Amino acid sequence: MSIIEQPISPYREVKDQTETSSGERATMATWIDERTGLVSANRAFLSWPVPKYVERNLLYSLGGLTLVSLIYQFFSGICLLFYYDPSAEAAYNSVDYITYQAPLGWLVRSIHHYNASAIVILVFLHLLRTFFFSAYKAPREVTWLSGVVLFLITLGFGFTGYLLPWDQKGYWATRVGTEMAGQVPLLGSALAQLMRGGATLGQLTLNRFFVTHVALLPGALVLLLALHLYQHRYHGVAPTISKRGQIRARHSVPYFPNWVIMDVLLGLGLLALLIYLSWHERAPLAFPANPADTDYSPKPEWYFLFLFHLLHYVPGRLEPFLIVVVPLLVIGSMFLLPFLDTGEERRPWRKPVTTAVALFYVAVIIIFTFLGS
Amino acid sequence: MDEQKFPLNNVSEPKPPEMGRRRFLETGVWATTSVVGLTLFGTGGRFIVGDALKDKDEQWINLGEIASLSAGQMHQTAYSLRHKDAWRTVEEKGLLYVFSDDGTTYTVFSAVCTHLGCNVHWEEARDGFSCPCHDASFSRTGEVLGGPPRQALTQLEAKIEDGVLLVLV
Repeated sequence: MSIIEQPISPYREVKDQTETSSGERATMATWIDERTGLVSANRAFLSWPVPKYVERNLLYSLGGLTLVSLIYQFFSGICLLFYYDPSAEAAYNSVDYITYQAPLGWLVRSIHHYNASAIVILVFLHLLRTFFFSAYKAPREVTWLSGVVLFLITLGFGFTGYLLPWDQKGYWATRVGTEMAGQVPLLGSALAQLMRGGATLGQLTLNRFFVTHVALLPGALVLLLALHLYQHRYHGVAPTISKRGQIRARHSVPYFPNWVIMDVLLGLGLLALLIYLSWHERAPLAFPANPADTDYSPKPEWYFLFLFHLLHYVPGRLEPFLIVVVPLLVIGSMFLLPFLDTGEERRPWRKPVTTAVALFYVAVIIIFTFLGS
Repeated sequence: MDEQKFPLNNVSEPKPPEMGRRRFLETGVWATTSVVGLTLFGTGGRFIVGDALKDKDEQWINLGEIASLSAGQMHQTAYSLRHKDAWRTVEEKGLLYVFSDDGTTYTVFSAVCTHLGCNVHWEEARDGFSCPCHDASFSRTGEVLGGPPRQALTQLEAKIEDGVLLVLV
């Protein structure tokens, strides 16, 4: 007498509906699936109908392209770890070695450098698209909130990443950045010292930034990305705001491959662009960090430039307000957005206040970034 | 539009908890987990903070004979000192500005701008310091003349011993 084990995976029923063209492949897939449940789970996750208006629509591929871009960043980052030495004495030389001596090191490091900017741009555009299409509204609040935190994590990657070469740019940008944290009332000094690992920038600062860049932030990113994607899959695509989209919404296409193909092609285009930029101009490496240099004029990466430049226009006594209150207001309003804007209306031109506030934020960031550059 | 839900329908609903033994065990699991979690976070947190909040160790450095520092002129002086940086002993570099009106008393400023830590320049024509980061300006005596800083340049303790200028950094 034998006992027949019943499948317990919630995805099992999907497996029975799928057709396979090759018997051998089906046998292999069945073998793996019976032991892991991963094949049917994967199929269940990918085989869902999405409205036709997302197909071949660049705006709906920003999220997918961001994901592809993050994969490039993980891959190039892991490659760099094979050579990078996180010590204050050797960090600069190891990055110099990567850039000028390691085989294809210039390419890997330059892709990592340019792709960091690409991710910031893509996440920002994805956030704007989600905002203007009101895709943050119920029941997608958690998707939006996880997206906002992912945006902040992206900026955290940028801030912790550019110290790692231990060159003039990274050293001075970090010195200024930690001093800015030091402007926070009451807690500022302790906060700055905790970031630096002591009173001055040194080995412990490099260790802290390194471990944050390669362990803490990637861990947080992976967890939140899983939540973000699961929420996206769970709730499906948000309703469209255009009439044309509403007509197209009557029809659906499968997520895989119809929607995914666009992400893959755009991802290929992005990779080509990154390789071209890397070939055209290698990722910069300034002179080694020198705290005694008076000729070097510190400037942060372009995506923090607006904040750095805004300080030109703010009297000293108002600086804590700019450094603490304004970011808290901006980030706080992003967090509160789905709980404040709870109406049915999704079209941005019918929500002038919300739209005007967002456009004001965007205009300030763009104008002061250009002025600062 | 139909909202496609992720199929988790055949996951069985948990039964309402029984009072008594089961409840006691559940509470035990959460309590134990909390103790372990707090212990790990407490230990890890203290370890990570390390000595980060300690003040910098100060030491006297030698800036050379005062005979070489002519009176009435601002001198830019780079220094380096042996300094313990965690497990390493390193040469810490820094920049100072030294000035004397009469050749007997010396004023020494740290070159670090009190705004965001950039190094200030001495500008002879303006008879003052300027910071390249946010256009801050300071007088010859270190007072803020313009820009965002709220504090004067840091004046360091200095003394002369056997004709040599020593500064506490």
